[in-house]
Amino acid sequence: MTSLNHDQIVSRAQTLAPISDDELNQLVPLVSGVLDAAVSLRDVIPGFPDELDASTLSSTVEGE
Amino acid sequence: MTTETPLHYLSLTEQVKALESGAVTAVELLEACLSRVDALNGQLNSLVTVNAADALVQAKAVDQARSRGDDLPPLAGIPIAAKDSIPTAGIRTTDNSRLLEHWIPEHDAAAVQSLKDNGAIIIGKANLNEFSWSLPSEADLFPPPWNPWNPGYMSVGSSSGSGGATSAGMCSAAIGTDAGGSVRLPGGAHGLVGMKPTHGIVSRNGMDHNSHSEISPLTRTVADTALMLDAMASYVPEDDMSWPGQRDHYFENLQADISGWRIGVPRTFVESAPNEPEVTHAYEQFLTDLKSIGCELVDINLRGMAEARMANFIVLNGETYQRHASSLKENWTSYGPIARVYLLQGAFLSAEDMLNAATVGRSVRTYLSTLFRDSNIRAIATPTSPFMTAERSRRPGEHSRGINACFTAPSNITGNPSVSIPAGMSESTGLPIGMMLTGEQHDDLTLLQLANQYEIETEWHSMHPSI
Repeated sequence: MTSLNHDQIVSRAQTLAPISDDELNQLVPLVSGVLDAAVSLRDVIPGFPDELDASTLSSTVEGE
Repeated sequence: MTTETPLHYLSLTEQVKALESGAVTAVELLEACLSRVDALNGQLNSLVTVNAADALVQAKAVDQARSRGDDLPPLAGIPIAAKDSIPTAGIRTTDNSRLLEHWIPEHDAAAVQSLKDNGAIIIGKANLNEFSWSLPSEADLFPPPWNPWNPGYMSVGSSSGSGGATSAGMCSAAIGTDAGGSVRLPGGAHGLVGMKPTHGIVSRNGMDHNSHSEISPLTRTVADTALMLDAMASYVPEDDMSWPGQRDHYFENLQADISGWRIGVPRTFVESAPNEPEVTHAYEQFLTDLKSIGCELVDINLRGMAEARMANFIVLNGETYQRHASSLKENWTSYGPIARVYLLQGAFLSAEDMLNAATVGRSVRTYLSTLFRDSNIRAIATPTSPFMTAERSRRPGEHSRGINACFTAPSNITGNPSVSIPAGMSESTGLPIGMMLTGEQHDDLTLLQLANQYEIETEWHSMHPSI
């Protein structure tokens, strides 16, 4: 899924569960973190037919 | 072992010898552990169910069999605690969730059955984060467990109660599950050996689990871990992820000459973590000690660990949401207030995200195999965690990115074996500090041999909580 803004996360979450406003405020930063990770991985996947070479990946905890 | 060491703090290996020699009976050992439960569990919350009456029946049966001269299995009469996410026949298994508050499984998980087949007695079920996920909360079915080394701090999870119960002497050893570090992290914070075996060595058949979650032992010594893994490892044909190949006999082959073994030291990676100063100090001492026991330290440029951690994080989130999707909609308020929010994260991932994560996991696994071979290294040495306490691990912005699991989570998605061993003590918190060795796939024995030699030459494993 592509990155979502605050309102998009809230809107989708409300279709998934009877979630409260306070819980939505907790959920939004968590989902942003998950989606940031997904975007980071998408950025390292090479186009077909190349294969991912992990020896070219990051060397730090922050992914740099 | 000293004569002053109380029965409940003897290593599992020493307890086995004491039972076999007749120095103690299984009932005496069980009662020693139950005395610790009675004295401490009200304060520590390590166990959520105590199986005292049934365990006593089993211990008496072991003693009777031994007095008859029966040939007994290696763990006969040894009290083991199991994380309460691991099903145990006839014993309530809650996952620390109100949804399963009254569930009594009809069958044991395969790993529990293997332990029982080897003579172990289930003394109780250990506390955990709800569904091994989220954060501990007072609003959970059971309140969070506290660390016996300093009950002012929570036990690190998610196999938190397994760590607390083992370090407090409520059991001889425990089993937990490690999907991102949930056995190695409590191992480090409780002064225990916590080993995640190679993927597939210990079957997860008979329990709800994530793809990269491994049932793993928490013990007081490396030899104890070897005995536990010998008992737990088995090929289960019904489990498509169970490893059918030949496996080593870990305990029997524990002693090894490790002179000249090359250990990879990924300084750039380790030093990029927000390590607490006492962790950094312990890591440097760990490297010095590895060198002093005969290892050769080799600088390596370890790559892909952040991506592997993120990939593991994505798979965990996606799989966990998939399992709970319909239930979350129908039973939202039956989940704990923290767990239900955490469980929803995975709903926002796509199939492409999941497959990208799997691709990264495979690629890093291949890379690690090449690294081990080309660098001729036996293991990679890192801290277990940059942080010493559960409380520090929760800092917003770090927890949501899994920084507390920056050293542990990569080997979950790659499947490599990894062991946390006691390797330091924090003066500021009074809590132990763990260091970690990660090895090549299916080379669990090498890690155990290395950790065992380190343990022989150091004293950290012989320390116990004063509680």
